[in-house]
Amino acid sequence: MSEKDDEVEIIHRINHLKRKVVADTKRASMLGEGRIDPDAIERAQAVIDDSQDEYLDEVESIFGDLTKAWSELKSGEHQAVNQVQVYSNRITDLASTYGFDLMRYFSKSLRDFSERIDIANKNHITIGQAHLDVMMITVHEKIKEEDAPKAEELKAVLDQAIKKYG
Amino acid sequence: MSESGNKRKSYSLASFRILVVEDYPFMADLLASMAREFGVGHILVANSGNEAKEMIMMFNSDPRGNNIDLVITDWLMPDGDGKELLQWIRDSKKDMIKFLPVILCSAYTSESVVITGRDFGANEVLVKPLSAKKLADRILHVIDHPRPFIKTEFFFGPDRRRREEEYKGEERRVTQSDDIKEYNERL
Repeated sequence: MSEKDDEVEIIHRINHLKRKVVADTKRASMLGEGRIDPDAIERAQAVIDDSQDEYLDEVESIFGDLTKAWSELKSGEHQAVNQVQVYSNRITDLASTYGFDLMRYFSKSLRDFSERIDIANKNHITIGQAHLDVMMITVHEKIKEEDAPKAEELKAVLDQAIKKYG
Repeated sequence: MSESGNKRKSYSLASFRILVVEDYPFMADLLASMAREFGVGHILVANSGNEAKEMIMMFNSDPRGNNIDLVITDWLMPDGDGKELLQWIRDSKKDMIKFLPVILCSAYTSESVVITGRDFGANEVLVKPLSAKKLADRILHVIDHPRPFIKTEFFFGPDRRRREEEYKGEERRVTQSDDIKEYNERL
């Protein structure tokens, strides 16, 4: 390693953001920590809570996109792998935000699996299909909790498929 | 500006301009609505990393203009992902862009994504599920605890160390104190 490689520059910047959010900009650097109005945080949380009812329609819609992308992947379209990853990530995002733990579990598993999927490998296709099958039941039966009896059953089905074909 | 019981003052985010980068419209709307409730005055939404680059170029090229103050970006996006966007921001020649604070917001919970995010210059990482408190905490952290920027041959971005703690292990650093140059920005 040359001497130049070892050089480190530390740049201390003026806190421009703080100057923007306080009334007295001249004293900005002397002020301690601030806060976002707790009422505003409560209202922002209500935005999430109030949109909970939209979850089922939304997840059904993305699941439709995912199913379409999966069909394309099965017919050998390589670019569909990326779509499967994007849609399963969206479902993970949505399900975790609204506390649909079982769906989050399956969609996260599919998203992670799609990062290493080989579309020419029949076993991989079987594992992917098993994900879609359990996700479809989860959507249609509106199963929320990860530890519900039906949820345990579906998780076991997927685990078996992964063990057998993985 | 109101005074709180614990003497912390509420910030006014009315002059703040935030860019939300999210390919999934439902999540983008949710993030934008939350920011609006926080009182953020200007909220922009880009649905890909590439669109975000165009917006940043447009707003942050003029130092006297109404610049974007903070970027909240998703990680996995089909048309220019979060990693690529971060890399582009930190590689910029323009100060108004390269020092732009970025909060990485991801449903990936793996440690590798958090580490990669920091290695590519994210100021904060918000691991989903999303909540108003988590988002507020990350925004406040960027405002109240801006980390100095570190520039080496292989890295440019906010200091990746979260806490200053005395290190008790074997000395493995190769950088000598003479090699460290500190700069304070002047107005």
